[in-house]
Amino acid sequence: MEKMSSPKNWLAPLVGVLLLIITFTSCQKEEFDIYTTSDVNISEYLQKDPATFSHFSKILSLTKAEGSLGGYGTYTVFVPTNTAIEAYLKEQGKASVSDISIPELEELVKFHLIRDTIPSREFNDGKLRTATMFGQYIITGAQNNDGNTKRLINRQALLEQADIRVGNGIIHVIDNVLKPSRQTLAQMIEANPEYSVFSQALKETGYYEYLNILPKDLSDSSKMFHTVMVESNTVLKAAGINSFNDLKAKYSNTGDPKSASDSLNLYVGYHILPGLKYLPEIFKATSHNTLSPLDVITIKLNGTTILVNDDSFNGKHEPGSEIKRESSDITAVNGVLHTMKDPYAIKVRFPIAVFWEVTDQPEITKLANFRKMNTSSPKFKPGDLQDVNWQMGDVQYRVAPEARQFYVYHNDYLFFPALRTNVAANSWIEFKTPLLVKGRYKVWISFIRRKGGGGVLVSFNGKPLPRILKFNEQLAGMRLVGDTYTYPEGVTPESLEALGIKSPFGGRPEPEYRVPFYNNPELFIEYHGSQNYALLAGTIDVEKTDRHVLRMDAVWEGSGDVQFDMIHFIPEGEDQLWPKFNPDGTIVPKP
Amino acid sequence: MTRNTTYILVLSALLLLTTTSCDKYLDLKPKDGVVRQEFWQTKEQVAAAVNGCYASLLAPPLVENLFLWGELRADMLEARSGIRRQELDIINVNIESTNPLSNWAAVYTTINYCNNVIKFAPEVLRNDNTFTQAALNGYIGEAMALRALMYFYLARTFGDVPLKLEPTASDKDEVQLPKSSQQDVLNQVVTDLKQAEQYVQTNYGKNELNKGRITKYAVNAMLADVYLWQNDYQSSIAECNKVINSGQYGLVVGDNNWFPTIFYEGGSSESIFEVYFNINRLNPFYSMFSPSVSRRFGASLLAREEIFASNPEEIIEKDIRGDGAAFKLNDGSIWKYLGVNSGTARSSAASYGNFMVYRYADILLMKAEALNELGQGQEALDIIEIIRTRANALPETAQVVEPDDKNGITDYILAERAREFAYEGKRWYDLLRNARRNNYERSDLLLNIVANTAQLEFQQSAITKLRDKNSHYLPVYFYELATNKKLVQNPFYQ
Repeated sequence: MEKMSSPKNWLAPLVGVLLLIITFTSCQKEEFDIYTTSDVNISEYLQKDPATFSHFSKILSLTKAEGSLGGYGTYTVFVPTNTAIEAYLKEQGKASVSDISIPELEELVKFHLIRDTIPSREFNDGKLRTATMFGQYIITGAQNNDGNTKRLINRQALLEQADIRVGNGIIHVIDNVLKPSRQTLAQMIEANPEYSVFSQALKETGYYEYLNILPKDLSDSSKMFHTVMVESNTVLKAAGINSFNDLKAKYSNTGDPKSASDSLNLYVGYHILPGLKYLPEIFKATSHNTLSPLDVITIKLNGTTILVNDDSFNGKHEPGSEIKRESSDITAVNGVLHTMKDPYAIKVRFPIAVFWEVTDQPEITKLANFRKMNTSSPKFKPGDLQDVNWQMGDVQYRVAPEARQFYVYHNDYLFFPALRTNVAANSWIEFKTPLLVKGRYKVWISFIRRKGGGGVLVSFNGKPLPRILKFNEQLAGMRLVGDTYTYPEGVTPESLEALGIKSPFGGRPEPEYRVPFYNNPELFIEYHGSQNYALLAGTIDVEKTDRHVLRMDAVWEGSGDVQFDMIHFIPEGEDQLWPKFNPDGTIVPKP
Repeated sequence: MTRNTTYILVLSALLLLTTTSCDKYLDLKPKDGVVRQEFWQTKEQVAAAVNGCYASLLAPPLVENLFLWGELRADMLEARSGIRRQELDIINVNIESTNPLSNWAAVYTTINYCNNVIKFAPEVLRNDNTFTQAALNGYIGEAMALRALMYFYLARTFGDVPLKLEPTASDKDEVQLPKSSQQDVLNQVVTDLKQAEQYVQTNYGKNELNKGRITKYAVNAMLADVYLWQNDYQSSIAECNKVINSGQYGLVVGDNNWFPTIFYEGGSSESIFEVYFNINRLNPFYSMFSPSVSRRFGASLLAREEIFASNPEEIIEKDIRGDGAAFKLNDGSIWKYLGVNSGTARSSAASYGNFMVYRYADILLMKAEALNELGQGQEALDIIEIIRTRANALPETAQVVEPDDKNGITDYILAERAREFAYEGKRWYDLLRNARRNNYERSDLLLNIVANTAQLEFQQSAITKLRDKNSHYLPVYFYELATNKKLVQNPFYQ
C-alpha cells in the first residue's frame, strides 16, 4: 500500500461520502398524516387480536362486512370470541366458518350488529334501545354464577369485556354466539306442551294465524309485533281449568269462539297486547291496550313483583295476577312472550260513579301528616307526583286550617299557585283519573273559590268539554234559616243543578250528617256559595275501561291560586246531587 | 508573545466572569414556594404541616366523596332534578371504571400530606432545640391517625387499595404500587392507630381543637370501628369503653336544642371528631340538598316514612332526629346541613356546618353491635334504649326483640343507626359491615336496597349484580389504571 501523503487523496472520497449523506437525508420524505384520527376501527381492532377474534374477523371478511366496519359509522357490535364460535360450529356440525353459507353468515353478523352506539351502562332489564340490523331486539340482564355476576346478553351469552371504544363504535365481547329467534309467537306457544290449552284457544279463536305472520309479510307496521301474556296449563289448572273444553265452557258464550264478540275470543284477545313490550315497557306504563277492543290491562309494580289488574275499584281492592318474571321476555320473530303466574280475565263492569279526592295520590297518602291538621304543607314540584302534572310552581297538599274552615271532604285539598295564561305562571294542570269503567259520565269539580282560575277549559283525553269554568266566581251568599246556613231565597239544589252547580256537603238534617258552622258550633251549614261548591265541567264519553287524562287549561289571565277538593264522575243517568261529602269524612247518602 | 499573554489574560478574565455570573442562573429554586430541604427547620413549620393535613380534608371533593360513598349506594337518598349521571349510575348499580366518583385521588392527597409529616417532621428535632420529642410524637400521631382514617375509608369503599406509607417527594420515589388486600390495609390501619394512641394528646386546651383535631379518644373511636369490620368484638368493646370511661363525652339532651347544638354550632359535648368547615371554606352540601337550588338529593320516602315513622295520632310527638333535623317532611329536603334549627334555614353563604366523623352516640351503638355479636343481646338492647329515650323515638319504630335474637337485634341496631346518623355518610358502610359478617350471612341487607332505590328498568340487574360481593366495592378509576400499571382492576369490573 502506498502511503497517503497528500491530503487531496483522501479528502475527495470524504467529501463524496458527506455529500451522499446530505443528499440521502435531505431527500427523506416527510410523513404526513393522511387520516384525521389514529383510532382504529372495529375491523382493524379485531384483526389485531387474532388469538381471540380471528373467527369473527373471518366471518366479517366472508360477508364483506369488514369494509363497512372498517369505515366511518356508529356501530355497536357484540363479538363472540373464537372459543364461542368454535362451540357454535361444533353445534352446527361444521368444521370452519367457511362451511357455513354466506346468507347464514350474513344473518349472524346482522344479529350481532346494531347501528347505534350503546355503552354497557345502558344495559337494563329489557331490550336495548335500538334493534339489531337483523331486526330483532337484543335483551340484556345479569346472571350470578358461583358468586360472580356478569351481564347476560339475550339470555344466550355472558358479557366478557364491555365498552371497547373504537373509532366507529363500541365492541362488546361475549362468550357465546347470539342466535335470533326463528319462531313466531304462535309457533312458540304451540311448541311448548305446557301451553297446550292456551295454544288450542289461540287456534279455535283464529288468533293462531294472526300471531303466525312474519313481520316482513305485513305492510301495516302497527300489526307487525305483539306481546302475549300466556297462561300455562298448570296456572289454568289451579284455576280449575283442566282442558280447552273447560276453558271454552267457562268463557265462550256464543259457542263460536271465532266470532269477535264471543267471550272466549275476547278472553284470548285480552292476553295479546299490540306492539313489542318487554317487561320494562310493561311496568313503566300503568295500563296497556289489548286486542279485546274495549279493555285494557292495568299494571302495578310492587317492589319487584309485576301485577296485572291489581286495582282498587269502588273502594275495594281487587288483587292482581303476577307475571312470572324469570320466564318472561322471550323473544319471537313477531313479538315477545310473557308468562303469568296466575290467570286473569276480563272483568265485566257497569259504569259506576267515582267520587275522587284529588288529594288521593300515592305520594300524598304516604305522608305521615296525611289528613292531619298541621302547620307544614308539603310542597311538590312538577314531576314529583306521578298522577298529577302541571306546568310550573309548587303545588301544596293542605289540610284546612281550623281558623278558616272550608267545607271540603276530609278537610284536605290540593293547592295550585296559579292557573292563568301568563307565560311566567302555571297555565295548565293534568290529572290522571282513577279507573273509569266505559260509559258516559258527568264530571263535577269540587273546589274552594279563590281569586285564580277565572276561565278554565277542561278537556278529557284531549277532547275539550263545552263549558268554560270560572273558579273565582262568588255565588249568591248563604242565608241563616233556623240554625242552618242554607241556600239563598228562591234557590234550591235542583235549580242550581240546572245551572251546573251543586253544594258538595251537608244537605240532611240528621245530627250525624250535619256540618257545624266553623266559628259557632251551635249553627250548621249546607251551602257556602261564596266559598266552596262544585261545578259541572260537562259530560265525558269513556270509551275504554282505564285511567284517563283530565286536563285544565287556563283561558283567562289574572293572579290568584286555585284549590281543588274532589272530582266526581257520575254516570249520566244517575242522580248527580248525592251523595255528599262532609269535612269530617262522613258520606251523606241520598235521603 | 505579549500579544499572546494579553489574549490569555483577557480570555481567563472572561471565563472567570462567565462562570461566576452564571451562579444565580444555575440555581433553580422556585421563587413562590419553599423547598423541602429548607422547610423542615422549626416546630412552627411542623405545626403548619399538620394543619395542612387537616386543611386538605376541606378541599373539594374529599368530604363530598366521603358522604356520597357512604350514602349513595344505600337507601336514604332520593334523586332530585339536579342529580348527576355518575350519581344515578351508582344508585342503579351501573358502575364503571370511568365513573368519576370512583376517583380516589383526593383521599391520597391527604394521605401524602400525612406521609410527609411522618417522614420529615423528626428531622426538625435536630434543627430546632425548642422542639421536644413529646411534641413531635403528638404531631406524628395525628398524621398517623388521619392517614389511618383515610385508609379506613378507602378499604371500606374500594376493598383492596395500594398502601402507600412513604411520601412522594421526588421523581425517584416509587409511585407504581400494587394493591394490598383489604385485610392488610385494615391491619395497617390498626397498627397505625395503636401507635397514634400512644402519641396523640387527650386535650388541646380549646374545645374546637378537641373536636377538630384528633385526640386519643378519636383514635379509640376509629379503632372501635375498625375492629367491628375485623369482627374483633372484644377489642371493639375495649376501645368503646376507653371513650365511655374518659368522662369527656355525653349525649346532648334531646330537646329542641339538640339539633342546633350538634349540627349548627358544632363541637358539642357529644362530638369526638368532626371536620370543621368555615366561612372561607364552605361545605359541599348546600348545592346538593337545598330546595332553593336545583338540588341533587332529597330524603327518600323510605327514610321519611319507614325509618322515621311519625305518629299519626299525635303529631306533637316526634323523634327529634326526624322532621326538622335529618330532613324536612314538607319538601323532603335533607335538613341536617341546611338548618339553623328545626325551622330556620342557613343562607348559602353560611353553609359551613361540620361533617361529623364520630359522635358519642356512635360509640354507644358500636358497643351495642359488638355486644350483640358476642351474644350479650340484653346489654345491646339496653344501649339502644338509651339512644331511643334521648331522641324521643316514636313507639312505632320500637322493635320487640328477644335478647337471644341476634339477627333481630342487628336489624334493630341498623334501624337505630339509620335514625341517629341519618345523612352522616354512614348508612352504606353500616349495611355492608353487617351484611358481610360470617361469609355474607346477611346479604339480604344489601339486596333489599335496590328495590327501593334503583330505577325500575335497572332493578333486576342491580339485584343480581349485588349478589357478587366484588360489586360492593367501587372500581379503580380508569385514569389510575392507565398511569399505574401495577394496579389490577376489581374482578367485577374487568
